[in-house]
Amino acid sequence: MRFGLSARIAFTAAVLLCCGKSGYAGASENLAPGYRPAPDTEEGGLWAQTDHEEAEVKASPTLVTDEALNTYVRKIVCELAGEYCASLRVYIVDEPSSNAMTAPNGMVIVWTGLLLRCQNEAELAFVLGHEITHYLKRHSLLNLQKEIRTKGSFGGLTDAAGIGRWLEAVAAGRIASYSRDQEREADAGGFDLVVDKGYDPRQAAFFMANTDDEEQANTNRTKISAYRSTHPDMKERLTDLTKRADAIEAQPHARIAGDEPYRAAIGPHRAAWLEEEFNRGDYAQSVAMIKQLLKGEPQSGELQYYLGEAYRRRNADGDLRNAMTAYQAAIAATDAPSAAHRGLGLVSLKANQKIVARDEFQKYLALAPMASDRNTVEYYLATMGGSP
Amino acid sequence: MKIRILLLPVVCGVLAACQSVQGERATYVGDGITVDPQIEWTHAIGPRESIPGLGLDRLLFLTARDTTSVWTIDGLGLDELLFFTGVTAGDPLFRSPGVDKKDVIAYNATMLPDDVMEMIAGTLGKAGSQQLRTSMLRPVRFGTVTGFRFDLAYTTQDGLEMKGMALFAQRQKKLDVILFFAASEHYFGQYSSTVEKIFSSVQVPDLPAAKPAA
Repeated sequence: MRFGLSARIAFTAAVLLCCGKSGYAGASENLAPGYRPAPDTEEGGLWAQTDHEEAEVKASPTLVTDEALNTYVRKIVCELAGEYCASLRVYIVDEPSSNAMTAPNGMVIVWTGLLLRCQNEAELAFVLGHEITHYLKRHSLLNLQKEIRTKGSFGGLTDAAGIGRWLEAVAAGRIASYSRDQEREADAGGFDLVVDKGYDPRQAAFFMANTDDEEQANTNRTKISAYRSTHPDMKERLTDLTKRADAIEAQPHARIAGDEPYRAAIGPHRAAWLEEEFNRGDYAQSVAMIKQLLKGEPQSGELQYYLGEAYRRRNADGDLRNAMTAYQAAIAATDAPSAAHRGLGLVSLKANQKIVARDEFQKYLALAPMASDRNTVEYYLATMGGSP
Repeated sequence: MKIRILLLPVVCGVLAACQSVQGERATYVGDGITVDPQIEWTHAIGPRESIPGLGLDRLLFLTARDTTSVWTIDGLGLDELLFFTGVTAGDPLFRSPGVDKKDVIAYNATMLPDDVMEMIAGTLGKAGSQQLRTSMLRPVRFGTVTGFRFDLAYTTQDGLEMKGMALFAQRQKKLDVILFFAASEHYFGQYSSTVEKIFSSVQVPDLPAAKPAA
């Protein structure tokens, strides 16, 4: 049984985050620190399979190896997990969709799309706390046992092939893995972990609201994100997390958002992640997501540039004008990317504003004389009858 | 090479049609375009289903158009030379399984070369290509008209690192794309110079190219 990396991560979304109806209710005990199940048990088989998957994740070219970023995320996980830190291993995977997972054996996978969307450390900490709670409560094992009870054995469930078939069924959506109660427990556990570490209690709800907002921008209603497809109703979660934050509003609390350290950690990667975001081809969601980020960083030329790129690629009614406005804002910013001139040149050319287009293309070439698309920009200039 | 021996029978067994394309002769690939294949390719025409085991299930699902051709030497997924010719406004390059019809990225005759490159990249991204990077968009000859080239690199869902090169032109409000990609280890380097020659061998009917919107 072999999963591709994306299939494995899809299985995570399903195994670890999925919503389904089960008889499971109420909090369970945390597993013991340093726990490892006996290999001849159902849980041992589950761990063996995820150990195998983890070996493939380690070897994957999509693994982000930047040490500073890994250290940063690992530190958050360890602070939240406390005495379980040594049992959790963090892997950042270069994947533009938004998700995270923790496997039964303690493998924690964080997609770069999630890091791109979180606005601060507190938001990321909540998602990680949610995943750590799934691990601590052994939710995947409980669900596997439920499947065995209700649907019968897949065969040798303690061998890798049997577990693998179960994982495959989960990944394919034929089996709902986590119950709503388990998800509620993970939300509650994640919330408590971040509040206990001094993070702003409101940030969990902010993350949830932004996730919902981005989903609403999805014009293709037949397709929902991995995150949404595997989680309970967003409004219910948002309401619950808001109530939890309200309940401790009057209490003394550090309320750490962690904006600055978060931006410092992801800053070197954000432009590349935004480029990859566009390869998802869901430009309406990209527009919504970048607008959310701009609320936290309204002066960011980088974000304004990518907002212009998102509008230009979406190319809906009014988007040429929207793109122009965004590129102009990017150019006015102190961190203006030179490519903003190219973008403004492209949309001006499309809008038949040749004088502006020529001017912007020339500025782009002046600022980026070694640009790999220099010949193409010179071609645009030539078709407009101007000199490069 | 063991892989070559093993894969080709599998590929030909699954494909609707499988025949040889001989080198050193002009071969018609649609929309009036001919190329010189340079070497012998295994030629797959028309729609094909996913091929279990090769990691292609999300990579490509070609629509049933007679203007789409796929050639390979060592096997699909290891190296592929794809021809999408005569793509008209409103049509995608191809549609992947699981991608809804209204969710595809469609060609638009007013697209600039940058837009076309982004359309191709977005289409590959929706097909499951990861870490996709494009670079070096530049004008080149496409037969007697102006076309554009760019390079690309991505990782398949099974973790195979791929490199590629694309050539396209917009003629008479239609888009022609020749796309080559191969595993970056061994295969791309093995065939890239051959594909360069194929790109240079493109011949088109003597009609003016559509200019970018201006």
